[in-house]
Amino acid sequence: MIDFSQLDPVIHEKGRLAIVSLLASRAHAWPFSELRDELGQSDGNLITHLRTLENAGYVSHDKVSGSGRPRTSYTLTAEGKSAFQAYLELLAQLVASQAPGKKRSKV
Amino acid sequence: MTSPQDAAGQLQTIRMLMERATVYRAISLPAALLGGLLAMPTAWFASMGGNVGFLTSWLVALAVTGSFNTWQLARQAKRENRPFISSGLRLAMRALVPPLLAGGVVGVQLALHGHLLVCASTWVLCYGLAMLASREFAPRSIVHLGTAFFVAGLLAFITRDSIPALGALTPANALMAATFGLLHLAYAAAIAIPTTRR
Repeated sequence: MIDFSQLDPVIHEKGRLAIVSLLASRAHAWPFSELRDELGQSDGNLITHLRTLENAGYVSHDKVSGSGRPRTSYTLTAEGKSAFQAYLELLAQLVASQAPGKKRSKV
Repeated sequence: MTSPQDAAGQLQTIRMLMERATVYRAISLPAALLGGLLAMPTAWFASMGGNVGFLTSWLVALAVTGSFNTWQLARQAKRENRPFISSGLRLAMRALVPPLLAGGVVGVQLALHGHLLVCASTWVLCYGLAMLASREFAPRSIVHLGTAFFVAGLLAFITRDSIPALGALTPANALMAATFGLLHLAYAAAIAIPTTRR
C-alpha cells in the first residue's frame, strides 16, 4: 500500500515542483532571471518559493557580483536531488499501482 | 489527496518542464524548407558573379532565411505562451554563435581572396560544428543534420580538387546547393514526420 503522506510537501506544491524540475534538468546553475522567464512567475513568488526550498536544504544559491548588476544563480543540492528522485519514484509507483493488468507495487 | 490521475498529470508536467528546458530546436521546419529551396536559385545566381557575387548571393540568402527562422521561433514561443528570449534560446546562442561567427568571418575572407571552394567548405564544416555544439540540448534531427554537414565539410576539404561543376553551377556553388539545399530539405522532411524528440 502506498503511503501518500510520503509525498514531500515542500516539493509537491505546484510552483516549487516547477522550480525543482527546471533545476534538475541541467547540471549548471540557473540564473534567477532565466528561472523567472521560463516559469512566468513574479519575482516575489519565485523568491518565496526559492527561500522555502533553501530552508529545506534542497536549493543553494551563488551570488556573482562583477562589473554589472549582481547575478544570483540557483542549483539543486545533493539533498534536493535525492528528495526529487524520491518524489518521482513515489509518483511513478502511484501511477503503476493503478495501471490496468498490473499488480499493486509494494512500498 | 493524490490520485493516480493526479500523479500521472504531475509526472507529465515535470517531463514537459524538463524537456522544455533541455530540448531546443534552433531551426524551425518552415525555415529549413525555405533555406533548402532558396539554396538552389542562390547557387545559380552566385555562379554568374565573381567573388563578390558569390558572397552577396549567399549572404542575402542567409539574411532571408535567418530572419524568417527568427520570426518562426518568435511565433512558436508566442503560440506556446513562452518568452522568445528563453533559457533554451540563450543556451542555443552560447553553443551556436562561436562556430558560426568563426566560419562566417574566415569564409568571407577566403571568398574575397578568390578561394570560393575553400570558403564553401569552411561554411559547411563550421555550420556542422555549430549544430554539433548544441547536441546536449538539441533534438536528434539537429544532431544528425550537424553530423551530415560536418562530414560533408571534411570530405569537401579532402576532395576539393575533384568536386565537379554541376551544369551552370561552379564547384563551390554545387557544394553549397548540395549541403545547404538538399541537407536542409532532408532535415525538413525528417521532422515533418511526428515522433518523439526528433
